[in-house]
Amino acid sequence: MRKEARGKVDERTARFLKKLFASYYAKRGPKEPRDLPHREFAFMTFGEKMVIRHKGFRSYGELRDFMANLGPSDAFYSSAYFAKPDEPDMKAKGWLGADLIFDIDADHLPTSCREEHDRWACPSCGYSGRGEAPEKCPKCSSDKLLEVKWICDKCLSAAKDELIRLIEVLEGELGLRASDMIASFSGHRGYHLQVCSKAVLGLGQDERGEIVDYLLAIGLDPEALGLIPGAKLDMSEPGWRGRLARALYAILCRADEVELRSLGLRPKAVRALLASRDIMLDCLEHGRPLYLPRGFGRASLKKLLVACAEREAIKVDPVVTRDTHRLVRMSGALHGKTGLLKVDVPLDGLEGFDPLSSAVAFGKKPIKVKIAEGIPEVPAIRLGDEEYGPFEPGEFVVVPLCVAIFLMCKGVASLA
Amino acid sequence: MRRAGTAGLTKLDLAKYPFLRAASAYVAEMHLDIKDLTSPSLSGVLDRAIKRVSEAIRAGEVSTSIVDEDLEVLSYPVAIALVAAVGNDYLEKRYALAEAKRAEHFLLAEPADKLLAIARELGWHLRRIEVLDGGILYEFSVSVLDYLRNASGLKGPKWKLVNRLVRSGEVLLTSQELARLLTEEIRRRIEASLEKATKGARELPEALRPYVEKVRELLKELRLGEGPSLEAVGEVRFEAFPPCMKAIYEALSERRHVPHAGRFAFTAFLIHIGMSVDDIVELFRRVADFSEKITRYQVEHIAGERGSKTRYTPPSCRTMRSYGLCVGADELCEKVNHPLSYYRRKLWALRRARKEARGEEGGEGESGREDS
Repeated sequence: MRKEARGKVDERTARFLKKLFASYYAKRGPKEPRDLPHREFAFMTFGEKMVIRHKGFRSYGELRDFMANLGPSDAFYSSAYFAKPDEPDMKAKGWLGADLIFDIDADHLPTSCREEHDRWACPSCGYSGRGEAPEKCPKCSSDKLLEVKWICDKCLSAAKDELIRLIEVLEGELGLRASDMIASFSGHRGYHLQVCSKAVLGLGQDERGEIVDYLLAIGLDPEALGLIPGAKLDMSEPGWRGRLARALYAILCRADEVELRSLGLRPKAVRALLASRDIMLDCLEHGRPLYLPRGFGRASLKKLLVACAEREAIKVDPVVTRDTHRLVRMSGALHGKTGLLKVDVPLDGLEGFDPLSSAVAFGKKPIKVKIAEGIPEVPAIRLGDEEYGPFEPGEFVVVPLCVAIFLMCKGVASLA
Repeated sequence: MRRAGTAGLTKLDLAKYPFLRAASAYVAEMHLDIKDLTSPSLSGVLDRAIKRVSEAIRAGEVSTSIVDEDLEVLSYPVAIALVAAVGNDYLEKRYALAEAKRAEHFLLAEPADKLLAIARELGWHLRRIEVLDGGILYEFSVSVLDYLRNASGLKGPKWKLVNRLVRSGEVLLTSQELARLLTEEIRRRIEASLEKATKGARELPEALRPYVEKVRELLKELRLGEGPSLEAVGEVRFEAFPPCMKAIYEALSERRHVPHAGRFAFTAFLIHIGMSVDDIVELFRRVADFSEKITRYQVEHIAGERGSKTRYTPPSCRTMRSYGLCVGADELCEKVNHPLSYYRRKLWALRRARKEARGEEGGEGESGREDS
């Protein structure tokens, strides 16, 4: 079984983190959620890992005092609005509606940097490697491997690009208003988008699920969209048809035999396609009915377009968006796995937003920590303008407070 | 004839669509007292109301002939009151559907302008367009949210938002499709007004009580609650599992990673086909190295023995697909939209096959005896 190298924060470190988080909230509370009295709140704590649910607050002051007192590792509120948010029974809570939530996690995006900064080690024999951990240790075949999953500029910016595409589709295709959207960096490895408007409030699970399927292209049937041999594929068309046409154009432009085969096309179809690539590109450029060569029929076209759809899909977490009772992390609250803040980002400021500067909550006071033993090498992390690490297992290091907190929250260091 | 409603709706329209606000306004203007219904002059209204309900129960569809427009408009709210007074969820759903089917019959024959007027009366954001695409004429463009509210429950790939022509927050529709979606809206509206009527349960006049009893009698014809329930099935047969559940089971037993949603779906499925919490925990222990304490807690939670006390239903096929848990449909999958329906149907099929196999052997033996 693979385990992320975290969770085993020793008691002293846990107390230290709890105190720091509490004092942060005493100075600066979280951002006040919209319609606070109708939200359910939930918190997690350091150390014993308690989950406190079904909390309701009447005022912002009450919420802030509670957090300053508790020093929670993580703080959430419900995407839903309830008549009685503090009722433990879901039915008695009285669901009034819910914001529409999207979650984009760098972990779910195909980024190459994972091979660089995600590591694993086998505690039994000490063997280690990079990227995703294998099922079993290649050396001693133990299945108890420890993983260190990291973040970097590359994967965070991939997540940000995905968020920008999401906003474009929601606004341009589905007609949701940008003024109803709140975008935020989650404080760890992703971005959230929250749509708060009367129009989406009453959407049920199935309706939200249809939005998810639209974004992820689940169930997309090119033929239902009228994309059959001889159809016109117009790259300037709005919606999925235009996006498919553009993706097809891109695939045709640079595809080679290997790539086309990997899409599940038969060798004969691949050869036919490559031979008449220019004619097909020409059709797409001029919006003429798509020419299909002999040997590349209806079934092949469908396969190819489904592959285009998968590439164009916007990789939101389907479970989060479908859920009408989701707990979402509070903006302006600290993330228990990083000590970074969840911060809202104005939509027009997304391009230039740097999460690893803007989300840093703690200062640069130097502090000594011990890197855990028996874990893989700890990759470097950039916070603000400086990069820290990599760190060797077992070493003692003096780092700025914000870095120390990051390492301790990640579960790879303890208070020295 | 008095003014009949708004926006180009005639009295005939109100007879066709008696659930529209314009129709209730028309009824209100007549200043009728529900107590008068039993008077001979209005007995036709009461008769038609009872007929509406009995048609819904027996045929699943309210008849579409309109002999007297007033009778149609007036009998609808009376039927609603009767159904609400019975206080049976199933009847309410069945009645709403039967009325919606009646409305659909009329909608499918309406010209575009009439459809537009009705949709607007129902509060939809839509406009007329004329787009010919791939040999299909799209005459309406409706807001994505109005679309989703009514299409997300419909089966078939063509209703999925991802397979529609979507432009700047609007979905293109043919007039047939609009009629179908309006039918959904109407069904939900009627359900909602029944719910409201049940909650507001004003005392029904004494004279109407016998009619409520009559509806209850009719309802008995449907033999509700006599079908075999899954819980009673007892044994759990893996051969009857749908492909998605088999795949999760196999992944678990090969100790591959199964996402939370998958474990949830699988657990809820097992609970619904009658497996006990103990058996499920045991199964998980055999196939995967979960902590028993956590597993038991989660299974009990899903079984509704803890926390919110809600017994969770496994996700539908639609949800399984959007979670990426659908592994591709087999023939039977095409016919169902829920993993539980798959299991139930497969189980019947397996039983029938077994019975037939046994029946044939027995039959031969018997015929042998007859011969002798």
